[in-house]
Amino acid sequence: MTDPQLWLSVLEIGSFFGLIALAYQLTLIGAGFFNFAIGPYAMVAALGASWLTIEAKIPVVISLLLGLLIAVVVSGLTELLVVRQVQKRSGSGELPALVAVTAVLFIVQQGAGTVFGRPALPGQMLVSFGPWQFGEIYLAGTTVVLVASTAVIFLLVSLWMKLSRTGRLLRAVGDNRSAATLLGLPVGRIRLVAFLLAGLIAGIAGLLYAPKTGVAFTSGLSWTLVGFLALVIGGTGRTWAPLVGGLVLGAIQVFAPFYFGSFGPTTMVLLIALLFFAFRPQGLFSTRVRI
Amino acid sequence: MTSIAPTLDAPRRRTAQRQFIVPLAAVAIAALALSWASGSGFRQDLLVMVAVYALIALGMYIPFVMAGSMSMAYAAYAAIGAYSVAIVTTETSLPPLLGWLIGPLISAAVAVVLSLLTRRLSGFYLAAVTLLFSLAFEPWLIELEPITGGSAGIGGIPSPTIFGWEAPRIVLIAIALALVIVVATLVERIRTGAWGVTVRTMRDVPSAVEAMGTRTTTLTTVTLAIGAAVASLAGALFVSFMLSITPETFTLSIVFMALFVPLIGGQASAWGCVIGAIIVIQLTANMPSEFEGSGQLVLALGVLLILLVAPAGLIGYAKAFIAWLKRSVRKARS
Amino acid sequence: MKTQRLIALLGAAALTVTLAACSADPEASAEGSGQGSSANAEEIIFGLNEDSTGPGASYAVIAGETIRMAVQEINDAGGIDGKQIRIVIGNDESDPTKTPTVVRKLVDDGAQVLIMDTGSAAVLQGKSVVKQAGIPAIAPTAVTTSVGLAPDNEFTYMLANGVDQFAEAYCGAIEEKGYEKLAILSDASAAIDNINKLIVPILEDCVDVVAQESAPVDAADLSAQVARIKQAKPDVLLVSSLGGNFEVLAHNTLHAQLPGVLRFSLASIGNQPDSWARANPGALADVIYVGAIDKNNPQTVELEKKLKAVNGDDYRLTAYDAQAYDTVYLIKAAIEQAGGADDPIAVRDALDSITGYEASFGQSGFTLSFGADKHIGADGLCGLVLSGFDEDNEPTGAWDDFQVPCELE
Repeated sequence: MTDPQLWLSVLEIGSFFGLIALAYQLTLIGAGFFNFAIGPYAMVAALGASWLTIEAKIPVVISLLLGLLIAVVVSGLTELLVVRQVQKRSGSGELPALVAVTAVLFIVQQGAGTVFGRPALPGQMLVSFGPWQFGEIYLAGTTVVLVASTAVIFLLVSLWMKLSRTGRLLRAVGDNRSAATLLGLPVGRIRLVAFLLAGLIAGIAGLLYAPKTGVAFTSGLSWTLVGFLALVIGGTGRTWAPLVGGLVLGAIQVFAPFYFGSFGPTTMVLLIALLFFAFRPQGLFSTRVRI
Repeated sequence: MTSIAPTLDAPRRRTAQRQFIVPLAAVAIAALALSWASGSGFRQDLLVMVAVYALIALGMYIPFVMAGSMSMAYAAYAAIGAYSVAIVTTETSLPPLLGWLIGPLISAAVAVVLSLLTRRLSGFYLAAVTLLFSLAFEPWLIELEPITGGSAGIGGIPSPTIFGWEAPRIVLIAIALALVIVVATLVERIRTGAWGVTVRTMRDVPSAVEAMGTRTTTLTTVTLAIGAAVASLAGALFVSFMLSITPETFTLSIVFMALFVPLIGGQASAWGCVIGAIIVIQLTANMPSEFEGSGQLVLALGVLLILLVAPAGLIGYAKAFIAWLKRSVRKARS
Repeated sequence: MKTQRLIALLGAAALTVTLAACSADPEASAEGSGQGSSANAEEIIFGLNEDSTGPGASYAVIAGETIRMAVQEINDAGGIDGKQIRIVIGNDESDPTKTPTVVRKLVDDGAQVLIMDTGSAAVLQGKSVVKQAGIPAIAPTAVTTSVGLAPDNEFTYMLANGVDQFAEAYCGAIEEKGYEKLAILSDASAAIDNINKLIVPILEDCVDVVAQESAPVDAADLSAQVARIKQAKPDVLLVSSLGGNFEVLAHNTLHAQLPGVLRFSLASIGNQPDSWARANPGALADVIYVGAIDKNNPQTVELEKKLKAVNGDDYRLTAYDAQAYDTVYLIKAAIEQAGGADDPIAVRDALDSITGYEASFGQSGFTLSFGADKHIGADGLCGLVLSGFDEDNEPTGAWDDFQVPCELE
């Protein structure tokens, strides 16, 4: 547990997981269900930015912004065209909305594969610095950027939820949707804002993480699953609960193989998750209202 | 006086007759399908895949559509069913039927364990746990090499025989379709029966069920166990026709398939699973080559289309159509 | 609501029409079973199962394009015995549950020979189906040895050296360079587990395996596994993975934590150009991979010229291209030998009698041959070309320090 290199890894992947989990949390609060298409939003931002830089030869800054824009637009479209319509037709049941976003997951994945191609592409960075070597410790520049940005984003979102009008409305809607509707709050608009913000955060997460090993059209699926797990572990009580969940999941993924090498990391995650659910089922930070 | 109060017998007799209409229609359609497929290995395969997907969807139907519990371990259940049959037929001299019984039993036991572990939590925890289980399952299959053949899987599985008679493939497929019809009929009977109504009420108003004195957690566990057992049959069926199995055969996409199929066919009836399976196979495996592209994409688009345009699925559509017919007939009469 | 219903009705009608049309498809109303029922007597039909949209797409498409090019080349020269080749295409998206159906569809569409250009799990699942259909199938890019081995291999073929033979190449290099302690980093996939079971015992004969670590294919980080490897103080490393993300991550992490230590790579990282740019700068400089391309091989040079003519001057030849090209020409040879493609058993037997085919990949002089009990084409080990990278993560071609000796028939 004392190896700093391993802690750096935990910070790096924990930050990424935390950002994806934050995006999940926003759509959970805003719309009341888990948007499984979040992973592909992150993927499409990264893949799009890489493709634009490499194939379309657009300057890096613009590609990064365009990548983000794509993620936000796709997220917004999901809300407007899919979630809103499906919930109108099928009432408030969770099943149809869940299945609909799962379909969106595959559509975005295959869509990205068709437009941006099947081969994996390297992530793009605005400025490249590092890596640094401190004795035995290796620190990549991308790690620093990812961790720092995650801290800043969580801080900003936390402040936004507390201080801004829309943020407070979002929390109100999340706490009790029917009451909010009765009170005449613009539930639909709030939900759209939640989706757009989630798309933005997922996009940033994808862009920051892609330089680590690149991104392919299939990356979104495992990102989606991992973000979901991070949120479940962290719970939804506080805005920074997803970050804690992400770090915990990252710690499990790094330290379990280190100490129990041959036992199988996925089995370890399963066992730890089961223990966790047995003793602290609400997640680390419980919300006042049960899901 | 006698004409005002309806007798109890007439409606019950009508319902009893109506109960057999759909299964009989299914048998007729199956017979047509068999004649359509005779002589073409590809078409026979399509029928087998329809049966497999229908069974997986039926396995998802009771726990998810009726009881509202989302389990994502379906790939594991199918694999358990397949491996049970494979192991029993290649490594023991026991009758293959045993494999068909062991698989569902093991799957049901797994489902019960996973359900009990998360019984006090919201449904999404069940989803998370079953998802993790699904992911961890493949490495286990690889580790348990003496039993499962490890990463190479089990091959050279003999084609199923009926008490020693090596039936032609078309007969085996007929039996497969019969199995699906039987399971669908049973699930539909369950759905409309008293127990089924309780389960469906539990999804919408759990407190009402608790007030009746039934523990919702017990009910949920039972539905998950039944669903797992049925999904296992799908795996057993698959391996009986494909004659080989590896740890990588049943991927996570099976889980998504299990979600999509009942929705496409229509949640209102268990037969929606069968109809949904037919459509899914058509969209993914039998498109004319001009439309060749990603099966995944076509399916996802199809699901979205159905959700947006016909959320009750094809069955809801068919019901609306029949209701409209009846109304027109009545209008024409009067 | 009404318009909605109308749309739904039209949709359902369209679906019904499609279903009906498919069942009335004259091509599939078979007169026989399994045989290419509707093959125009003047043409030969190849069935190509190409994963163009699934996880294997990045390499399957490369092979698929070259297959089409080779078929075009043959057709332009008059075809096989005067008959033109037509390709019918399926796509199982490397999904083993789809493979059997796709194979049978190709058979129904008249395929007389199959090319399984898809993931290894799918190829393995397809073996028994191909056998049931009784049609010879070649998996051009397969390196999983069990593809060519029993059970169920009577109709399935592969060209290249199986990965278990990579171990002999590694041992040769290890002995040459005097390494004594080897550490292995693998992914936890079934395919790699299968491969490790074959190669680790061979490696243990020539070197001390001091550490063996594995991680899930989609692992986000490998520092823990690499930290454990570091503790064992190896002087040479082996990265055993299917490639893609895991491979890039492994090399990035090992380059950072164990700089300067030579790394053998099992995956054809040299055949996956999209991996090179994703690795950190200089991270591939210490990598020696088992490639299959040696510019000293005249057939390779000729093929590269043809591909550049078709695809442009900056086209990079990979082993996938060469294996795909050879697959098509091997099939041509077999059909010519059998006197036609109408009898799949005769074609299969003709394939089994091919010897000494000069491959477009491997070292100069490398040949392929088949036999009734030899469905892996490689003759000897010199289909393997140990190759390296430079500081810019570009391949430098054959490794100067050691090459597997060629055993010619």
